[in-house]
Amino acid sequence: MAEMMKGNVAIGEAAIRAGVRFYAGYPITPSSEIMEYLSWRLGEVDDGVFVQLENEIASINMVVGAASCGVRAMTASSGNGISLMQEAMSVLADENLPVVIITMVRYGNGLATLYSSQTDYLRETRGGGHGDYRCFVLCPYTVQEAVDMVALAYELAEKYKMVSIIMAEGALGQMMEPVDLPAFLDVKRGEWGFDGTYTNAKLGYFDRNSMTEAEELRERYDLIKENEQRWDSTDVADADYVFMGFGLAGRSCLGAVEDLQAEGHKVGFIRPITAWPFPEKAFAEIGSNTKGVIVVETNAMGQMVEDVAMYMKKHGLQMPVYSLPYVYGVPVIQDIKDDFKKIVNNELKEVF
Amino acid sequence: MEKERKVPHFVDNPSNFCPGCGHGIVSRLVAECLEELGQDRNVIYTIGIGCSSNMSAGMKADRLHCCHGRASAVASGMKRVNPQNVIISYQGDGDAYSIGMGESMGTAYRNEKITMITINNTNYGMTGGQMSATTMPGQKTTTTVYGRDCSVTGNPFKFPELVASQFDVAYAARGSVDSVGNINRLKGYIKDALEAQIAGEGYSVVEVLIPCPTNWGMTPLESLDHIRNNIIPYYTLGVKKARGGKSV
Amino acid sequence: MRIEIKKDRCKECGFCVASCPKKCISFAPKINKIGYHPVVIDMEQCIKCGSCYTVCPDGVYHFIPGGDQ
Repeated sequence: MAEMMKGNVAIGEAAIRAGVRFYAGYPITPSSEIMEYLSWRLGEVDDGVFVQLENEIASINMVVGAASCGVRAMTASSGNGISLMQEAMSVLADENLPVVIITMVRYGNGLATLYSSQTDYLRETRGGGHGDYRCFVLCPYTVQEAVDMVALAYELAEKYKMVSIIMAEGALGQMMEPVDLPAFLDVKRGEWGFDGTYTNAKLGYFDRNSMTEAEELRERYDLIKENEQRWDSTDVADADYVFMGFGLAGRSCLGAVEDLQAEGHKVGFIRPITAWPFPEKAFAEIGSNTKGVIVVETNAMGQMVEDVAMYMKKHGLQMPVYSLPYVYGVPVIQDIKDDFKKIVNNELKEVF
Repeated sequence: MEKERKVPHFVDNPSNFCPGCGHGIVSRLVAECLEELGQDRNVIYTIGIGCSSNMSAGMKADRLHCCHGRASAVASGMKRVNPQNVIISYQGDGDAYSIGMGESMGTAYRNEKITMITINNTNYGMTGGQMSATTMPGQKTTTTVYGRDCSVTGNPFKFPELVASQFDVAYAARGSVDSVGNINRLKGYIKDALEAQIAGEGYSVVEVLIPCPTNWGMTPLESLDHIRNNIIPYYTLGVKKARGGKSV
Repeated sequence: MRIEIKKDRCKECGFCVASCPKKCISFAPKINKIGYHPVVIDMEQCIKCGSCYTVCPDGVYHFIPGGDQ
């Protein structure tokens, strides 16, 4: 039976049920309830470890240590905090260590704000730290989807030996929705983990072949792009205009699409569930009569719109790409509908 | 009864360290202690960035290279999930005390049950001999070309003394590799530190003064004299916090 | 007690030479594979005290029980 739960709390409980047994973190609005919940909940399960650390750098590095021993380890944060974690996230990628990181995105540069937003799309989908690596980026649009994504995030991370990020807007962590919690998974240690016996040797800093590793990484990422794109779509094939949006912005977008369809407009909708790998395969559904693709986001410049334009080019789609960046908050359905009419009336120009 | 003296199997390999560098002595001592305690196949090292990184070349033990300065945090994560393993954070002074001061202090502050071995050569060796938190007053480095002026850089940092006096740690000591006697005493400190960890007493740290002939601009033997005559008087040797809770 | 010297590891730092109580360690005239003059021990003088093993940073010395050389 579904239970009303706050997003962050539900994610915390989903982590326990997915077999997470280690959490290290530092509080930051709007993610803090995840660690508050796990601070006592991890104590109720066997071998559960919770540590509050002096900052996000120590937190993610402690997660590195736990993950290297094969434990399902997690941390959660937001904009600035995730910035502080980037170096260690690059290390996790480099050492092929699976970890899940939750980011409840808040708007802005610098010290940022407390507004819910999608301002960190480009950072998360490009790896974020130094070097050339990627993380899975999973974007829930309901609390239920976020809860279901936790175990999936670990499965993907462990299958491909990399970091999974669940990237949700701050508002998703703060809002309450009915949730069906998943069953408790069996807790098991990753076979890659250190146990002190030198059975899972890691190469030293100066013993590695970076050229071979780069080739291996490219092959792995190509495999992921081939097999792990996830998206939802409705009525794309014969649409005049196709909307795209992820997370809560996507949810507003879906509402606008349903309204516009009721008004007689031929509009379709694609909701990326994985922001990386980008669900470019969804573009196969777009017909040649489509007049434009409209990307709805909550950031200042439009970020996903760049990926949309890039992959449309790859798929030979020539129609204009429009950007509707609503900066922060959850986009208002009426605003999306109003802006759609401006696009139809040629009052809003395409960006690509 | 004749006693075999052999570099323990998992560190018995040619090293990349400069001639006269003390790292090789310390890594061997740690390995000898592990072997004598029956822990040589029950150990995970976290290794810092800097000359310490050279240690893992060919080293046959579980080890993870860590972000610069964060090895103690990584080690803490390992120990929390693998309490049965001996966890050693092997870092240089630049890694542990300069960029990693936060993580090193945080780890000692929480009394994490790990052992930190810090190699203090009073400079950043790997990057070419710049000033570190432990550079001696007046010492010339590539970023203090007229000698360290403590009125603008702060004073050299004494980590074992600090954690011994301020934090609830299990064991803290400082040793040196400048002579046979000091090396033997140092081995005792390292063994005490590891035993403190194995007994679950808490955080243990051993700082080791080592020569850095390359960046000090000295011969290896002059470097040993420099440790004896100039560094040891400032960074005094001995146990700073004994097992059983006694600050020394 | 026999002493094996892994001469190609020696970097000629001289710690063992300085620490030897019998002053019976010196450097060979010919260089080793990494370009240094490696140590040699005058076994007539050596008392097998192990000081050289203790101070060596490069794992050159191996004291093997039994045997004479």
